[in-house]
Amino acid sequence: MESQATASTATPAQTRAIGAGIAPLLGAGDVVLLVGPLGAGKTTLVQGLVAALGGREPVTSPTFTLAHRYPTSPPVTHVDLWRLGHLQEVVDLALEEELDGGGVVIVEWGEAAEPLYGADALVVRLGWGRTDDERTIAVEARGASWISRAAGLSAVAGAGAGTPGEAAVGEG
Amino acid sequence: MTDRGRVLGIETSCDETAAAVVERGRTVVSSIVSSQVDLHARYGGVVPELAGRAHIELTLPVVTDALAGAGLDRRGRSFTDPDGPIGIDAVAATIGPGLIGALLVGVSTAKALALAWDVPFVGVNHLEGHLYAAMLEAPEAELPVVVLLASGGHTLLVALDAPGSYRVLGATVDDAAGEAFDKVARYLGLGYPGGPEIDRLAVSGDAALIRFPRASTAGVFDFSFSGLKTAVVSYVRAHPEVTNADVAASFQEAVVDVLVARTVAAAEEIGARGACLAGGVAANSLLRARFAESFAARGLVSYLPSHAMCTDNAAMIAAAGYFQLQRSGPTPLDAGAVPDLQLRGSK
Amino acid sequence: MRILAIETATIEVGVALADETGPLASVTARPGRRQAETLHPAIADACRIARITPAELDAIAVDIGPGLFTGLRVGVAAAKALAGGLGLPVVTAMSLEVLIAACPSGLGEVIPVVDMRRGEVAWLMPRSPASTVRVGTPAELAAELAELARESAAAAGNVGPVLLVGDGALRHRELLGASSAPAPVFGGIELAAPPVSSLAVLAIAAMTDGRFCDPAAVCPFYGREADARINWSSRQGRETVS
Repeated sequence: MESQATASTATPAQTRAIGAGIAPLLGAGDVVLLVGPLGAGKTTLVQGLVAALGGREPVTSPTFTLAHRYPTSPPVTHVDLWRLGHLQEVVDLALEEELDGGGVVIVEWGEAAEPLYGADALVVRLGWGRTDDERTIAVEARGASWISRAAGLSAVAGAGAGTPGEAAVGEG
Repeated sequence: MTDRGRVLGIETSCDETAAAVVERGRTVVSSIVSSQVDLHARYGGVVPELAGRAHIELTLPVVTDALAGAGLDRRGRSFTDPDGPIGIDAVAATIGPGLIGALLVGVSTAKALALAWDVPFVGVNHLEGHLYAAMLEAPEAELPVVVLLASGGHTLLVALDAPGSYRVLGATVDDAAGEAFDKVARYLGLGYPGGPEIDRLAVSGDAALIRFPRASTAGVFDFSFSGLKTAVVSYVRAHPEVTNADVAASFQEAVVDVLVARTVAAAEEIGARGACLAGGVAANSLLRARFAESFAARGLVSYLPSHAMCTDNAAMIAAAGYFQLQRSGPTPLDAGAVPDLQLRGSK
Repeated sequence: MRILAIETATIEVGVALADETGPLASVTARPGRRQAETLHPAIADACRIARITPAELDAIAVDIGPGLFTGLRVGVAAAKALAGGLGLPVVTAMSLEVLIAACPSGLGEVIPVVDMRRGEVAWLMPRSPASTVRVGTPAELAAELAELARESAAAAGNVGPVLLVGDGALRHRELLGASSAPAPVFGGIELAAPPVSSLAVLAIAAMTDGRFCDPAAVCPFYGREADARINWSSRQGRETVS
């Protein structure tokens, strides 16, 4: 069961706006998997998301320490799996303890966590567009709790202010 | 604390397990780092790159080796006098920044050893440890100095005014310098870690071929490398024929350029007597050469750490622990790990 | 013989001191995520209450799981360091064994169930060795309970209810309660976590029997293994050209 919306952005500010648009959909125990190549804007999107949840400190890359926690509401754990080589290393991060404690987990290079969390997650795919600055962003809801929030996804796709109206929501 | 001021330091903030014994914050008696290389050789078996499980398995053997290097058995007593007094005066461990599951192993180990031996526990900021790494190798350095701390996880400019007294002048607002090296290297299909690979490949490339952007930041001593990383990807996508060597050389040029320029400006701003490199990126050969050149041209001393002191180690944690114990006493046993601990300055 | 026992495998942090006569002192708390902040002061407090210094101990006992990773690492790291630093042996026990030991014997079959989070529990079927720990969904456990009830009824004709203890049993009480006939009965919330004094008493017996090991050999039992390499498709960008 899944549902999808797509958008394109022309600036990092618009990518941040997509992140801010996802923020109000999030609740305790949610997993967001960010998938996309280097420079696609994954951390940029998280900056918008964390700021929209009331985060005040700058969102820096968690690549090295693997996880940053932000005291937002709900609390966000920003994870980056880029350095990892084995699924066991993802298991070792004990993310279910964060989720069970009422937190939201946002995972960069999220394809590495799909075997563990992919069945019930919001999957955001970021890619390079036609120009250096353009990015394509596809937001896909997976699992019952996310499907029930699919109406909110079209608003998310529209949040990249001034972007072409490619937003489309449909059962996939 | 005895006159020897012997501190056992434990470092498990990331993917290296390390322990060391240091006297009076200056003399390294023993220092063990379980890098992948000697792991396979000494402890056997497959070693996961990451944290939690590896640290649980390795911390006790690594501590045992560090104690042995100081002539002590696992119980902290001299091999020549096994019923004598404990030969360690305090136990220090990194409490942050780092990965929570990794940090907790070192913190829990250190606090338990402190309980077992009835000696003080000291919780140390990993980044402060890096400042002392510089000092461990340059005890004669005249202060103040500016320290450029650049690693896979951090990029900071710090003014070290006196032993135990420092100010943070600037930091990265997005990616760390070492992270940019690693990510560009892997994007180009080079090995990991990326720093040494880019360093090696850049020698045969044209550093002037591509003029990558030098990001300006709101804070004059801050850094930003996210845009540079994206610019590299963007350039390679648009110029598929470009060689990895030219990209590596031009990219490295841009990073080193910014790092050295900001450090020089900071040194002039605070009237530093010298400048010091710290962190894993300090192993980069172009950075070392430019750093030394730039400060020599201004009549200032530059301190370039050895490879062992660039990377994560526990000697620097033991040294920082010693000075912290002198300045502000033991850390209570109810201290935990602080994964996003910042370096704020000593006051 | 004096043993210090450390329990951090599930929702509780506990420290107990015991000798052959039974528990001498214990300190427990349910500290949420603050296991590392709570454990070491609890060790100091328990020693102070029992008037025993760490140097007077003869062994360390620790619950190695299954349970929650964060707590397990804190407890196992502390146990290894205490034993290493004091030159003592370590007795290990699994959380599920400790839960069984905490229940009076003779009341019927006891099945301990520990919450692993993310919709999984770990359990141990009656009369099974600790090496046969099962990890799965509550629905899988419910199916095993139904099967056990059928087998027991066929073998003996009349059977009493099984007793389910542990935080996993309480969390999934509704599902598990309807799993079999007769319906299982449930332990109270005081048996949600393995009681540390039960661990200490188990450990005294283990020491007497010579079942202990060197601290360097002690490892948590995680109950979740995922050996697969991550199949990266996008982490590297360009084909190598030079």
